[in-house]
Amino acid sequence: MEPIHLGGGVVIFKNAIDINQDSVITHLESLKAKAREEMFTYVYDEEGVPLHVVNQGGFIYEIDDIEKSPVRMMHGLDPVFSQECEDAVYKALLMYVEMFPAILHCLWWRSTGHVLAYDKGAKLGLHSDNDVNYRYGAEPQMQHATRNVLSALVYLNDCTDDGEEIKPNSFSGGHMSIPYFDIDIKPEKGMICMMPANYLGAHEIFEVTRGTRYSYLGWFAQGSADPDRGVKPFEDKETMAMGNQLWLKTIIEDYKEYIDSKYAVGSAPESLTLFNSRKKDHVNEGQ
Amino acid sequence: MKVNEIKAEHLGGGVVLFKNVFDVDFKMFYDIAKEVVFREKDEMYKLSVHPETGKPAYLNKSGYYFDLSSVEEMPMRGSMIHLDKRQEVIELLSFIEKAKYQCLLRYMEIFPISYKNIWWKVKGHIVGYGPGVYLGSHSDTSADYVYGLSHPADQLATRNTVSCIAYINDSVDSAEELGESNFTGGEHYFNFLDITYRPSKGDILMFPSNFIASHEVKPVTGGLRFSYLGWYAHGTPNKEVSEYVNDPLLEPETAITSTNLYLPTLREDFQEYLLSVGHDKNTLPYSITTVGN
Repeated sequence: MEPIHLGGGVVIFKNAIDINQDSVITHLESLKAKAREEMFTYVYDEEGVPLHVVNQGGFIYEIDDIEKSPVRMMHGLDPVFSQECEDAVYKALLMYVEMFPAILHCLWWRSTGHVLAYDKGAKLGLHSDNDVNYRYGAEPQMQHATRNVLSALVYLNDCTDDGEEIKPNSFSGGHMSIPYFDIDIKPEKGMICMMPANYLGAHEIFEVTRGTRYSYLGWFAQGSADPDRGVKPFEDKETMAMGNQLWLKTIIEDYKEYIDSKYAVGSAPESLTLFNSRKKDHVNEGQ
Repeated sequence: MKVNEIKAEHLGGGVVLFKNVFDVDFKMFYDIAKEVVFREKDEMYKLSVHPETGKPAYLNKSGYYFDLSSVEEMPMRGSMIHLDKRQEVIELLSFIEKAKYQCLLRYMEIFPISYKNIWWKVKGHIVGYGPGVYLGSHSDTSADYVYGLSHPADQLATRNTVSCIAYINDSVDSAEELGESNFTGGEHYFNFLDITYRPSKGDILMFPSNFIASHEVKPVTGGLRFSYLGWYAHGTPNKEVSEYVNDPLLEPETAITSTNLYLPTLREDFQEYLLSVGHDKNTLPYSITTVGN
């Protein structure tokens, strides 16, 4: 698994994970209808006529746009499948830190992933992953997305463009565009894509024209707990009650181990071993 | 004091240079900057002797000792400048904040999605570098966190989205050119973007605060280097870590001395600006101000 930097901190890792597609896609198909129902809350006028819908992030959609929105599957995912995605993403993360070491101290906790399904006709306009639709005087209650530092996607099926031989379980359309760096990503089964969660990594998903596009999406984030605002990381999976945020307790050690295994003793460039000096700083603090 | 024509040059990676965008009495700005950073240093550290080593050391206000070099090699900060009561200082800073705001509107025109990440600002403070001083690579959103070792009391940096630096004096080529208020060295270098910016007074530099725009300041080799550094940020303040942001409409008096302020008219100002330069309402960048709500 070799990372390819496309620019602007957008990195892809091809063949990062083996996906047992037949069972995974069947599993996700079975969750989709219920997940779609849970996503939107209808808002009615005085006569009981539906006006529009509001999604879980507080964004308003026209009723006609429901079909055009991706479906988010948060609950009921097969835990083995989720864990495999999480593990592959974490492995890729260590490589990402090696490319951009300054991110290391901005990785406090992770939001474990959910699956996105784009049916035919679905698309998503340009947005960044740390936006909660703020407007002066109207601060959204849930703001955990503002803490996101890095987004991680696992593509679960292949995209075949027009004119190409159609692969099993594939879809057409649905490229991801990252316009500020002129990047176009064509999803491939088993590929991981990581990108900054801020406006630099603003991205758009083009309309899916055939089949269903599946991806697994999670984030890495920073900041102390703020439960009223949706920031409530748990210590470990076993104690994780409600929510999906986990402290990254061993990220420094794991990254150090990764660097130690890759470079001969003492030969890693100093810029990659900032964990050494930082740890010392903190131990010495106040002496 | 005047804002010049706003010409934005995108250097890559969201780093935008507004060359020669403001005019002030730079000699006065330099003198004020110098005065405040040295005053704060004197207030923070007293020359003393380390009780264990017997060597000269700085003693800070909290009672800790520091090697002379560890203090001398750090940039100096003029963080209290907004508490300065002098009329000329208040006017100067108020003008610079306005110049920055005009650059911000242009910045958001180039990167419309950044508009959604800008809720409030942290006003600028003075950063001063003497000879030999540099700053290693860092991002402006890092609070130096390490799980289990340090849960930083001050996490305001994690809220930053756009960084903004106004330059007060010039970097010159050689020691021969050093005058009363310029310096040599001190380039601002973005490691991951491979962009070098050389300070020039009247310039404003805006860039993403996140890790992609990590940057270092190369050693100053002569003279004193001064800049005025602030941020735009997002998120409701977290009281658990003593964050506060004031609202200038509700607390106009506090807003003069407070550093963290909401931007109540950003949306209207941005819309008005976009229409004035010919954008229509239905497409980006304008549509970002009306999307989803």
